[in-house]
Amino acid sequence: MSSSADDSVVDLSWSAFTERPAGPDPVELLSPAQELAAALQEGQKTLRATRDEGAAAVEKVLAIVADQAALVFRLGVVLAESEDKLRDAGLGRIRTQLSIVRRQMAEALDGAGLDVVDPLGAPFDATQAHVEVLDWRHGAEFTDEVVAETIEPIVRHDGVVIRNGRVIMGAPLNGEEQA
Amino acid sequence: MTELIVSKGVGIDLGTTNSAVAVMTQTDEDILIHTESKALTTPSCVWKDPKTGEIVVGRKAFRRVGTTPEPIRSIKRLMGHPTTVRVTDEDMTPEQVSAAILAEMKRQIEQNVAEWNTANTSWVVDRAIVTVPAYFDHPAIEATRKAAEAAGLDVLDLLHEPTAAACYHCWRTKTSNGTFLVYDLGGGTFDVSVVRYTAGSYEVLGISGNPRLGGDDIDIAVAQYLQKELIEEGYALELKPEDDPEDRIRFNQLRFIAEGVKKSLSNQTEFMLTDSGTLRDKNGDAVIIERMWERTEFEDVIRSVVERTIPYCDDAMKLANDRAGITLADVDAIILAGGSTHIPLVREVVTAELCASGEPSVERPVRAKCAEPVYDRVDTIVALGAAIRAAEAGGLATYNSDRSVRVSFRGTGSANTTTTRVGGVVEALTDELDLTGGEVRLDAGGYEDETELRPGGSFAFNNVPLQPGAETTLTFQVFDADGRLVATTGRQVAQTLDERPKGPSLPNPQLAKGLKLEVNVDGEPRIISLVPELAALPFNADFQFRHPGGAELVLFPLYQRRRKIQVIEVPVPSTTPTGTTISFNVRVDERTMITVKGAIGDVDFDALVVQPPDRKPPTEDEFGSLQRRFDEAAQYLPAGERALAGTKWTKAKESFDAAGERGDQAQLVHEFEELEEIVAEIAKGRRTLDPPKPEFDRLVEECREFNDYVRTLAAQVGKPHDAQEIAKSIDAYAEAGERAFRDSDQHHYREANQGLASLREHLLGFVRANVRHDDIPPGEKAAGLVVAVAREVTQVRREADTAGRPDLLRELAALMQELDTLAGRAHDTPDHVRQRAGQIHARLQQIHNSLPGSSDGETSAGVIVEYYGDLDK
Repeated sequence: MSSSADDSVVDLSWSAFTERPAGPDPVELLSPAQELAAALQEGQKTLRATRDEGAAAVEKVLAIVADQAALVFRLGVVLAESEDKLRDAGLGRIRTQLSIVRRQMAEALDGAGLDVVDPLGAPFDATQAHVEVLDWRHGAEFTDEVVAETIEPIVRHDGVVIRNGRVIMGAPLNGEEQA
Repeated sequence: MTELIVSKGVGIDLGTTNSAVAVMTQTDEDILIHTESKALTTPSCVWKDPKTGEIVVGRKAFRRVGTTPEPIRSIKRLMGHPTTVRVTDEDMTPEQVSAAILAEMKRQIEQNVAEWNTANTSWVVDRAIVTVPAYFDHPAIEATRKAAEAAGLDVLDLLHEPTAAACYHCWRTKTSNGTFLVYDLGGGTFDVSVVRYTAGSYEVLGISGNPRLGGDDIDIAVAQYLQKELIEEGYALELKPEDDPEDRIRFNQLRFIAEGVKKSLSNQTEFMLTDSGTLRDKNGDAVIIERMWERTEFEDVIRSVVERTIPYCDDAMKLANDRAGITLADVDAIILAGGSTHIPLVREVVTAELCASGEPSVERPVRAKCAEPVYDRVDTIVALGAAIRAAEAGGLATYNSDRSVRVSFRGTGSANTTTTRVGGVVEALTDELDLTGGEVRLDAGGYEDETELRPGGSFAFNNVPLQPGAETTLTFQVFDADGRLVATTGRQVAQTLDERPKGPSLPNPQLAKGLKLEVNVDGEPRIISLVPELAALPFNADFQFRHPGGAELVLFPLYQRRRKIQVIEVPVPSTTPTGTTISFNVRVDERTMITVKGAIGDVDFDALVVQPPDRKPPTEDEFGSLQRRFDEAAQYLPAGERALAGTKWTKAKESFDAAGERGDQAQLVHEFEELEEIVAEIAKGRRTLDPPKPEFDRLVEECREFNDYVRTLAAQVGKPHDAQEIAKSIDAYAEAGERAFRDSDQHHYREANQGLASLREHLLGFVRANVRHDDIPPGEKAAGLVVAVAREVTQVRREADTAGRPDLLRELAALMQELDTLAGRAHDTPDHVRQRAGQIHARLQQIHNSLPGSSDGETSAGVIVEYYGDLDK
């Protein structure tokens, strides 16, 4: 379809326009720079919100996996404590089976960058930032402030602590005198 | 190189268990709360390292709980007390310990604002609003202010925690007016306040609470329940945590497990509690737990703790009603605060007891307008509200790099219009600089303006254009009178379509709790009100007394609630004659500082205001005396109020006993003061009305007794008597009288009394007219007398029971037994029976008159006995 030159000629008479009511408020004209600045600020806001959402989702998954890692550690403790009893009861093979499953679970987590640290015996100063201390046990068997009992281990992801451990600290009997 | 230093006010919630700090963003559009290791709050815990002498605060200090030396916790409870705590090798005041916590909060939020630093701008934290419980008394408030100052903070204001919570709610919901009940159940404290927000200002109308009631009580209750169950399962868990360190560890493990139960059942209705043996019992056996917990069971364990909060809400509403005629029906929203409100039962109890959609079985004349309480960011709502207030009250202060000029901008950095007004004050901070006649030039990204500095350094620009939907950078240059540039500063202003109201202006300061003065009247100590509750500050109260003689120092203890907070020492020269009038004025200023000035004749004096020593735990006798006062006062209350007072007493008594068992002296004193407060509160209702209330009660009972008797008599003689109608009239007068008594309304009280007296006359008239004495055989007369005396025994037995007199109860039981025997002999030996019944009646009158709360005179049943006694006349 083509159009002739005459088609482009428009009679620009004011009568071609009809009156319409003006808007309630005068339209505010912005300079291109102002509009661009506003658009950039809006874009930044959206980007920040999206990033925050992503970070929250990762954090949620990591928390779940960290719980699993702590439970795998606990399974190891229970198996170690029960070793003799299971053997005496003729359940040595079952114990081996369970140990293999525990190891496989630990390896799977390890492959995903998770590792579990048992802080037992670690000095307080070195470990305190990554453990919650349930209580303190004072006794002659302690020559310094160290982790006396691990209730839950420290869990790390790519070397960064993502779940604090839970411990009972040990301290020498003469702690008060030293103070 | 930094050219500009910017200071922004922050909000700090200095909590008993945990503290939190927040700041509004640069343009005041949002609030930033400091988080550390994902935690929104920091333990209010302080420890001093014995090796290095370093003061350690927060989580790091909290990890030292259980070791020696012990860290300091819950120091807020001791704020304002003239005491010290041992922090490793050093005695520190509660104020100093709190200063360490506040300094840590300052350090934390400094980390956040440091992220706003640019190449030429550095952000600092040096101004704050610190929150305090609504129930803090004068010394505690002042100690908090000093602690903040010692932490390097300029205190913009101290804000009530509930007001801060209401402030956040109004900001978030864009509410401009409303009345709120703020229910704050934290780890160790419970506060409730009625707050009204109108025309941009907040007013606290009523406050109540318990500084030793909170989530810790819930954890302990659940841990103890769990412990009991495990003992029943055969585990050796009979623990003595106070005596055996290993038992303490075991109980802490139980408490940790209990916390897990609490958290899980806050999100789900049932929870499989499992533990593979991390806890070992006293025999060294692993404690294996695998047990389903249902939320309802958990709620049964903690219900009494939660329900204890409701009477405090009623107390706060009562105060609001006295002060401003506000009832629960006027409350628009109930705002929850504190970590313990995560527990669904707390929200359920609040809804059932106070909200519009509450439990119909809970009888309550009026309810709040809201269907349920507001449950939003309860852990940090106080700090968030304080941050909003800090932004509004503190604005933004900027300094040039050498801190020679400060430019303080008023208000917040956001606007919902496309043009705004920007104002502030320029101050020279060195003597060498004179800004008189100087000016300020503004550059707002293309828009320029200039204005002269007014006297005092204030300036303002009107109609400054803002970029719609974006942030505009405003740059200000300050010139002295010679046109030399002395400082360049700026602030960001965000234009937003969000029509969030600006933060409210600061309320007028109020005195949270009234001041009372102990005076001596005719040798008897009396407590008189000096400054009313929630009085607007500053407040002046005048007082005068006559010199009792024989002393050069007259002491007036000052009380807040039951706590003696200070003692006014009025110096009186030895030459002052006895009886000389001495007047003094007590002034409580905006910062709740108390000063006392007075005069003896023409000689002015300044009285010393000193702090009294801490109160000692009560002795058994003191408690016994208080118990008797409670019993005595409670019997004058109407049934409903008596039940309410009884519940409060029982719950506080339980906590008192538990504190005694634990050997927790501070808690013991606190619970005793709670009990004293309950007694003082109910005793307030005992105004002097005529006739005395026991007399009124006796009249009601007499009318009922007579009506009962007349009903039987009318049937015997075949005369009409509408006992039901008369009973209704008695009830109506009784109810009207009770209401009038409660309201101290003498007019209606007397009307009700007169109405009852007329009814009694009417009933007695019926008896006189219808009993023909001669027609009654002696045996029946004797039997009637025995029955009447037996009724009297029942009445007196109730009185003896209320008074807690087991000796009299035993005697009354014996008398009742004797009356049973006499009833069987009434027809055989009527004269003997009547004589002995008359003696028993006389003894009953003696007992009745000896019991507290019983007025002199006959028992109501005794009137009928007397009537039988008249039969022979």
